[in-house]
Amino acid sequence: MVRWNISLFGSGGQGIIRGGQILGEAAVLEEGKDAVLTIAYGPEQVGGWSRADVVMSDEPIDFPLITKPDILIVMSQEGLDRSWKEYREPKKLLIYDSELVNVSRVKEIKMVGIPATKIAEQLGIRIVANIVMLGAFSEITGIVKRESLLKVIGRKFPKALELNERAFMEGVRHAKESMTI
Amino acid sequence: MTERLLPPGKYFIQGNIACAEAALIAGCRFFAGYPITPSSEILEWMSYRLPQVGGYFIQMEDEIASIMAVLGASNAGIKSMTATSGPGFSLMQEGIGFGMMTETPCVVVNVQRGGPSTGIPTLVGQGDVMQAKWGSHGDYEAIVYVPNSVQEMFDLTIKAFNASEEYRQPVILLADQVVSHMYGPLVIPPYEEIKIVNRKLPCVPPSIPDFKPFDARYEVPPMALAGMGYRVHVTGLTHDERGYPHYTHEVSTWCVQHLVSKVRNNAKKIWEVERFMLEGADIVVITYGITSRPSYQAVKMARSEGIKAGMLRLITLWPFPDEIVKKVSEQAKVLVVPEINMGQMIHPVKEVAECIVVGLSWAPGAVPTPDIILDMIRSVSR
Repeated sequence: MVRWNISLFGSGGQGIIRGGQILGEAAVLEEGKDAVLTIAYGPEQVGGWSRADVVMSDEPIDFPLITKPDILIVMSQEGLDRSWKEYREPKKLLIYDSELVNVSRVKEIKMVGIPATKIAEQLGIRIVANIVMLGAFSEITGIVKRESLLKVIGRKFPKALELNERAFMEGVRHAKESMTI
Repeated sequence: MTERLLPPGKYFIQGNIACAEAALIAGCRFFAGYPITPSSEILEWMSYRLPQVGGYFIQMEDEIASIMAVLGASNAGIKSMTATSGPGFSLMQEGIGFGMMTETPCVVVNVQRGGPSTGIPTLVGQGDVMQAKWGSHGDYEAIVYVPNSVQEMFDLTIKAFNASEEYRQPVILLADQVVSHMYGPLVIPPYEEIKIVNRKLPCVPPSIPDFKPFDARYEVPPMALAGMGYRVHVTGLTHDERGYPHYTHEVSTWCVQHLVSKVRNNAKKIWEVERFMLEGADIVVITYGITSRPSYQAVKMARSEGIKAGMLRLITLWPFPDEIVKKVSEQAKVLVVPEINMGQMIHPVKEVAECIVVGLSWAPGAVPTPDIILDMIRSVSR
């Protein structure tokens, strides 16, 4: 049984939970996997910490929660700091926003930095930074296929489809570059 | 109106939303409530969806008013629901008792969080399992369903409505913060495959002399609704077949006996359990709700270590499936009861068990991990 524990950690307003919804929906509806998303966030509406834990598997998922993620995607410093307090580091991979997160404390774990927020700003709007991250995640890990995620993005944002697709593909491009270095 | 219901198909959806959509499919057209974490999404979604399907939504001033409005709407013939959590469930107990006494169908969703009192609002608990049965004063038999997945938030909401209509009483869906807030797969089957029960109405005309709205000849009397023309008196006082208060030992005996036995006599029909790896199991984990999810994994891990473990999951917590638990205990050496409370369902289990019963009782506002349950299984297997 292949079970993936994926944790997205950032701040309220960055679309962390939305990112988790897209990952889970792509796994369940487009790839026929089982997936469960659990969410947690601080009391502040914007600016507080925010976490989305996605478990996906080819078989029915027994325990739906994550005690230590295989893959951690962090989009804010608080996200990284809180993760470290809870479980030190992910088992396999860290993907982080390279403009917002200082990873000097991280050692002996594979990591990829993506300037997601900066890329989103260059596209004109910060709120697509989560979609940039999803593009990078898909390219680096292959756990959820690019087409599956794009299909879900198409359903969720029909009015801003082009922008979101561009954001996603920028994430893919940066991931490719950072992996060839 | 069916075109406005969530169409059959596969979804990735939140537990609370699955519950609300199920209610609409079951025929619920009235919701009164007061927002409280972690149940608020049900209220929010109903406020958005009910007007779309020709229903009514009211945000009341508190939970007592909410349950009373729900009972009123049901007496007018509309399938009704409310949703709340911990402190709100405590406030609703008065009205739940009134619903039991007046035999008013409705569904009350209680999304459990850590308690007591205001407790730990955004974190999980299972501390209301006894309150769900004994919460209101006096004698009645609660019917309580406990979901462990998004799919069951949907399925059991429909079953809760069906049971409430069939037995004419409030039925409780006892969810918890994790199951309610979790997103997961939901399959809605074609509507014609979904069993929907509607309350029986009187088959005699309102003009009939001496009409008895609580006719003792019926196990569950047909419900004469307000506005149909029948002479109906609805009271929380002990009443006779006509619905009027009656102060005799005979009527009190009949009234209470009736309320209790309509459920007790049908308990076997109501019971639902899931049997998991019970073949030859020496150690059986008795679980319900979210605690069953790590238990599946713990049981599998134990089996792979050569420990004969199994699991019995209670889907209906009340009426308590005593004969089923007893039978399982006759084959087992130890029953383990993990709960996110300081030991509640362990008591009815002990009452019927023919073997040793060990509790894993804790209330940290978190679900026990599979490792914690596995350690317990290992320690009792020695």
